[in-house]
Amino acid sequence: MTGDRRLGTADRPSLPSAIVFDSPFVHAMTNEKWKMTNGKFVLQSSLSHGLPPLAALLILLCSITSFAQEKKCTLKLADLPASPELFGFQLGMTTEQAKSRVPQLKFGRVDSFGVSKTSINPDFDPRIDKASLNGVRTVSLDFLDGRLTSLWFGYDSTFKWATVPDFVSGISQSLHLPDAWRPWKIRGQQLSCADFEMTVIIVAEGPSFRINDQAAEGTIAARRAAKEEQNSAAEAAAAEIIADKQTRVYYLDGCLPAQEIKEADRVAFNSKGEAEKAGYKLAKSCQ
Amino acid sequence: MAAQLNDSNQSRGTILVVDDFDDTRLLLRTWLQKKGFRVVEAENGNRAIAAAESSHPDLIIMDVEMPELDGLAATRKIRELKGLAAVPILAVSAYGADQYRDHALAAGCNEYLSTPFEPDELERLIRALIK
Repeated sequence: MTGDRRLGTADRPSLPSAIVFDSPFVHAMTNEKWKMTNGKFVLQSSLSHGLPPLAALLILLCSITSFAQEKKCTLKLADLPASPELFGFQLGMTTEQAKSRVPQLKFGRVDSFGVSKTSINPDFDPRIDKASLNGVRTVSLDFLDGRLTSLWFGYDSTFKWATVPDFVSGISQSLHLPDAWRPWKIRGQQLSCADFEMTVIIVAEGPSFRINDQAAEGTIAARRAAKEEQNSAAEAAAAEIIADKQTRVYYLDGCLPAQEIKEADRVAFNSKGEAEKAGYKLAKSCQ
Repeated sequence: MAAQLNDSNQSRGTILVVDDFDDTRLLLRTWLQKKGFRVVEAENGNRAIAAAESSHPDLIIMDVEMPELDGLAATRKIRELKGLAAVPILAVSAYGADQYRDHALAAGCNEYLSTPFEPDELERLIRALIK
């Protein structure tokens, strides 16, 4: 059964954090235990069945290579079909399309990075048609520049797939996903594909399932980094000019006074113009 | 003997719930309100700092992994704030205690709870942290 096979592979810790030497073929040949030490695979006991060490090493390398090959998802968001488990939502849809799906949706303000969020709680919001979101406790929707980039479902305990393995098996069939899920956090599973990522864990006896647009995540991270850089530059520029109230002299960054200005006498300006307007003169050492 | 958290309308204090998933916040809020707590929410570390400053909670339940500013970084910043250095912070994460407990405590959290957890376990920790 597909689900069982998926569970079997998913139960293996992912490379390279833990024991991964798990190929049935190699087990049958060597019956050995391996562990990861200082980034290398270490054989814990000597080989049995008379297998030469070099042969065992070759088998190990082949096993790791094939393991890595089978654990890959090259799908893109555009490849994903509509799925009944996503209840008409799809990454990439616009705010208008989401609103036509659930007219009661209210969007939060768009932040300085272009992100807006909203959520739906069918059990707690009497305006929502519960029948059209059967088994769903919460849907969280994140938009970037008006397009859906994160879809996060909190299904309740009545949802048809109650365990992580069942959910992974079911959603994989529904969305035509490859068998490339990996363990994630405690008892969770994660699938990383070309431009999206999915995670499943159990929260309050129901699956918690998230699909993230990775390109959008990158865009948000880049915008956040640019803003932080801008803020840092502004702070640095603001901190460039300090002046001494006693001597009425100001100093630029890189030509600080020989003696540190006492805290009580120290004053900062955002620009040379501001300092001069306040009656301060540039220190000779800075000219 | 420590006081039990009984279902009641009487406020037993304010708890700031920090988690990026609305569903988790919804579940915790519902449960905590039923237990008689006033609940304040934040969806990331930055908002948690602002909410902690404005609401001065009796306890913070802090998710570890969040966008913008994660739970541990937020905890470090909260610890630097006047009046919040001693507020109990319970870190919650889907990572195992073996991996994260020490990091959480080093960041300034008072306790660590791995999800999924039983409500009884959360209740026990709340009782221990809010005295």
